[in-house]
Parts: sequence; structure tokens; C-alpha cells
Amino acid sequence: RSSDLGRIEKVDRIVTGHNADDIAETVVMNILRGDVARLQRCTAVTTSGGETIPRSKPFKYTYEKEIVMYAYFKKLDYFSTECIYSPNAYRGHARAFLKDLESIRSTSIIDIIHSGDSLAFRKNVKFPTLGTCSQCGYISSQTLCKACVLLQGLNKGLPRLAVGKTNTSK
Amino acid sequence: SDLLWSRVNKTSLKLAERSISVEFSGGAELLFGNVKKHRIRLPARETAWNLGSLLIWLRDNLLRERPELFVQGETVRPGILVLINDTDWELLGQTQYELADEDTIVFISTLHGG
Repeated sequence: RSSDLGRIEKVDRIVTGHNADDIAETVVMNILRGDVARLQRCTAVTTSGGETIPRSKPFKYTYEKEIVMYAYFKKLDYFSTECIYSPNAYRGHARAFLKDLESIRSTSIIDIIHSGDSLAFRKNVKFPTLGTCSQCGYISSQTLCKACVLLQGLNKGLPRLAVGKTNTSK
Repeated sequence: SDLLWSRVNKTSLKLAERSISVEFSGGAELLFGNVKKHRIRLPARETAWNLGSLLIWLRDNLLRERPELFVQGETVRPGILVLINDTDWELLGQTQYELADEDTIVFISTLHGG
């Protein structure tokens, strides 16, 4: 993982290029999934948590359109290869919804980010406790983090383990 | 003379053809045979060519696959940026903009990544 690499290379902070559209999509996705833990964190400009390298998103308020226009007019090398799995990913639905919303109400993206920032939870809402993976020590809400579960599946010859809707651990 | 006048009007109703350049980038070129730059001559017709009619023409004549990734209803699919002579089309009336000879229209897709 990039965070682990950061630890090895002695990095102070990891800065990612997530833009306003990305963050608004993430808020919508997490609402649709009811992921309260992520909803709390996903709009933060800077995240830090115990052992992990702090991460920042300086483009939080920069629209993807501005970035694309900037790259176009400055004639920057622009990579537009799409991840082949992305059309089926959940984010694709959130993105399509957001784009349609934006065509009706142009401030949708910035409004959703603002809503994400303002979200507060009642005291009696249950959150998953943040512990560490028993195998690799990375932060995880389960005994084994997802990466370790997937790796374990691959090593045991069970590539479908923890992939898809039914988890069968044999 | 009324009859003559209406005849003259009818022949001048057909507006001039348009020669324009159309470019695709950001992945949009994949829908157009992976060709980024196109020179297009739009035939003369009775109503002026605007960007809306250009979109329909592109969909019916140049688009190779999956029209739903380029057009949505009467306009471009949300997420595709349109530049008319390097200016954001939102400043020029979007689909209502009437094409002029030698205009350059650029379609940049922002719908990618993962």
C-alpha cells in the first residue's frame, strides 16, 4: 500500500489529487451505503490516524472541469486511460447521478461537499471500532484487514474469497 | 412581382454549408475511431447549423459506437466539456450557438479514471 511505502521511505505526508467531483461522489456513495464511519472522514482535507502517514487533498474544492481545462490550455500530458473495472464500480452510479444533478443545479458538487463537512451523528449511533489487523498491523475494523483476506484467498487458491456478495471462508 | 419575390425568397432560404474542425480528447476519441482531429463539411440546409444540430450530425455520421456515451437527449452527456474556438460553450449559448465557417469545436471527456 502507498501508506506502507511511505513508512519505508520516511515520508512526512502523502498528497493525493482527489478533486471536488471525487469527494462529492464519495459522500453520495457513503450515504447510499450507509457507511457512517467513512462519512465522518471522507470530506476532511487532512487525515491522520495513529500509525498511518498523514494524507492531504489540496484539490478538495477544485472542480474536475477546472483541472481538465487547465491541462488542456497548458498543453500538459494528460492520461485518460480508464480503469477497465470502473464502469461496473459503484462509484460509476454515484458519478452519473451527480452529473445529472449538476445539470439541473450547478452548485450541486460544492453543496454536497459542504453537507459532508457539516454532517454530525447522534451520540447513540454505533460506529465500527478502529483496531489493527492481526496479520499486518494496518488499521482495520475487522480482525483481518480486507487486503489480508484477499491475499489469503489468492494464496489458498480461493480467488473469490471476500469478493462479491457472499463471503465463504473454507 | 409578389410571385417573383416569393420565388427569390425560396431559393435563398438554403443557408451556406459549413467547414469546421472537430477534435476529441480525454477518451472521447475512442468513440470516433480513435481519431482525435476531424475536418468536417456540413451540407447546406434550410435552418442554420447550430451546435445542437452538429451533435446529431456527429452521432449519425461520425460516431462509431455507444452513442449514449456521447449524447444525452438534445445535448452532450454530462461530464463532456465543449470548447468553441477555445471558449467554454456555456458562455456562447451551448447547443444554441450557431456555427460559423472555420470554427473549431473540441469535445473533452472527463468521464474516466478509477
